[in-house]
Amino acid sequence: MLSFSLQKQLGSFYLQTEMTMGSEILAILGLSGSGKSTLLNLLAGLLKPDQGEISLNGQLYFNKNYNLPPYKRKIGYVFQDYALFSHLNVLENITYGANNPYQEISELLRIDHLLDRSISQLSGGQKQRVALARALLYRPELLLLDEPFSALDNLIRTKLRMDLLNVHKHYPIPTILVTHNLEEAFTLGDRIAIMDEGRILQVADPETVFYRPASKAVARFVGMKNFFSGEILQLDKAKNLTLCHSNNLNVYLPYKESHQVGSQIEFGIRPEDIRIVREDRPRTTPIVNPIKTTVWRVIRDGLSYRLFLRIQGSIKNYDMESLIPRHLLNSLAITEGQTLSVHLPVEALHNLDY
Amino acid sequence: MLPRWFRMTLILLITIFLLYITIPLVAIFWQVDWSIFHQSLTSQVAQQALKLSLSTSLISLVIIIIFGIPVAYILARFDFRFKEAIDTIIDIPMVLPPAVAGLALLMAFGRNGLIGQYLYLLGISIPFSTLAVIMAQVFVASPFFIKSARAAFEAVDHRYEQASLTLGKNHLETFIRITLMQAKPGIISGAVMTWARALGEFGATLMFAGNMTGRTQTLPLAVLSAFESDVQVALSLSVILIVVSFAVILIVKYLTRGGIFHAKFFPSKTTR
Repeated sequence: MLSFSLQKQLGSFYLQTEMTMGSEILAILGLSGSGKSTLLNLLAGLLKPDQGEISLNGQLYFNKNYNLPPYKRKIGYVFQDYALFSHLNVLENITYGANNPYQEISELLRIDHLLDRSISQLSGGQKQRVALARALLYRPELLLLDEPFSALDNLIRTKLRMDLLNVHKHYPIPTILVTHNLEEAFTLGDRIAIMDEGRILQVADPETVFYRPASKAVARFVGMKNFFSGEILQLDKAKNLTLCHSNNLNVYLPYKESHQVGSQIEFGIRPEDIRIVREDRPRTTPIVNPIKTTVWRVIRDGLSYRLFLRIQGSIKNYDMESLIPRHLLNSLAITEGQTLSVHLPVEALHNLDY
Repeated sequence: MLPRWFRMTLILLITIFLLYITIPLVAIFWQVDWSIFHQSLTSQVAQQALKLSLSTSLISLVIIIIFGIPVAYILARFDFRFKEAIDTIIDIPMVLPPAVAGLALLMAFGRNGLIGQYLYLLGISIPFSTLAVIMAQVFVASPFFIKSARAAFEAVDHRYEQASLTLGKNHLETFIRITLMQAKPGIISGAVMTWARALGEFGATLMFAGNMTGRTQTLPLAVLSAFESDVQVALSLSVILIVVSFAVILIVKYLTRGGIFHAKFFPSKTTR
C-alpha cells in the first residue's frame, strides 16, 4: 500500500498531488509537461519534495523531517529510455540491483536466451523487457514505469502490454504507469488518474473516467468531443429523465438530483456514441433524441471515419463529431453535403456540471 | 561530387602537408646508425634518462589522476559560482609557454619563492630535484587529463546514475560502478595523452628542474644534451619518443572509436 501527498515547485511549474493505492496498476494519463515524470522522480527519491509525505507498506519514505535516500527505497523504476547500463551485458544488468535468482523472471519476460548479450545487440522490445526484469529482480514493493512503451512500434507494444499484465499477476505490487496514451491507460490501468499541470483531476476506474468524466477538462482528455450547454425544461424522476433545451433542440438526459428546472446545464457525448438512424431498417423502439444533421466533412481517422455534422438550422460549420466504422460509411454511402439522421442515446450523454 | 580540378587541388595540398610532417620523422630513422643503435640506447646517459622519464611521468600521471578525476567530475556534473573561473585556471597551463610555466614554478617554489622561502627554512629545497621534474610535468600536463575526463563524465547519461540509485547502490558505488565505468574509455585516452605530454615535457623542466644526468635529465633533455656530444644517442632516444608518440595516438584513436583510417577525405560516390 502506497500513500503520498506531495508538493513541489520547479520554476513556474507547481506539482500538488495526493493519493493512496493498493496492489493495483495505476495509469497516470497526462500530456508531456503535466508533471507525470516529476511525480515518479519524487516518489523514487530522485527529487526532493518541498512538502508532503510518502509511505510505502507502513514504512515512512519522506516527511518534513525525514528523507529516505533513493538507494534505500524499495522501488523499481523503469525509465522511459530504459537506462540500461551499456558497459554491462544483460545478465549483469538484471542482477545489478540484487543478486537474486533470475531464472523465473527471465523466463517470464522471455529474456532467458539473451542473458549474455550486450545491450547494443537488443531490440527495443527486448530492452524494455530487460529493464523490467532488472527492476523486478530488485524485489521492489512499488514499481514505477515511465512511458514504458512509447519508443516501441505498435505490434510489439501490444505484446508487451500483455507481458506487463502477466508480470503484475505474478508480482502483485503497487504499480504506477505513466503514459500519454489513452488506449494504454485504458488497457492496463485498474484505475486511471488524469494529470494536468501538476494536479490530478480525477482518479477512478477506466469506465468511470471515460464515461463519467468529472469535469470538462477530463472529458476532453479522454477523447470526448461534443459539448453542449442548455437549459433544463422539465424533470421526470419516474423515467429518470431530464429534458433540456439546447441548440434549438429538446434533448433528454439522465436525471440527476442536482437538476433544477430553469438552470443551465452542460453535457457531452463521445464521438463513437452518436448513433446513425438506419432509415433502411424497420425500428422496434422509438428513437430518443433524434437530430437531423448535414454532413460537413468526412475524414479518415485510423481505421474509422470521423464525420463532422452540422445540426440543421445551425450557423456553425459543424456542431458534432461522430466516429463510425468503415463498413458503416460504405454501406450507407455517406458523402459530404448529404443529410443524415442521428440520435443521441440517453445513457451515452454525460452531465459535466459536477 | 566535387569538380575534378577542385579535388586535384585538395589532394595536392594534403600531399604536400603530409610530406612536410612525415619527411622529418623519416629523416631521423634515416640518420640513425642502426649498427650502434643498441649501444647508443644502453649508454649510461640514455639509460638514466629513460629510467627517469618513465618513473617521473608515471608518478606525475598518478598524481594528475588522483586530483583530476574528482575535479573533472565536479566540473562535469555540478553548477556553482566561479565554475568558469575555475575552468579557466585549470586550462591556463595548456596555453602557457612551458618556459614561463617553469619560471612561475621557480618563483613559487624556488629558494626565494613565494612558498619556497618557507620550505627552505624547513630544510626543503625543491628546485633542481627529481620532485621538481614531477611538479613541472604535473603543472603542464594536468589540463589534458581534466579536459578529456570532464568530457567523458559529461557524456555519461545522468539516467544511468539515477537508475543505479534506484537499484540500491549509494552515490559512491554508483560513481565507481556506473559513472567511472561509462567514462572509462575517455578517461584512459585522456590519461595516455597526458602521460605523453608529461613524457615530452621540456621547457618547464629545464627552467625549474635543470638538466642533471640521473636526477633531472629526462628523455627530451637528454636529446638536447646528447645532440651536443653524441648525435647517435640523440637520434636513438628520438626514435624511442617517436615510437611512443605513435603508440599514444593509436591507443587514443582506438579508444575514441574513430578508427585510424576511418575518416573519409572525400564524400563517397554514393553520398547524395
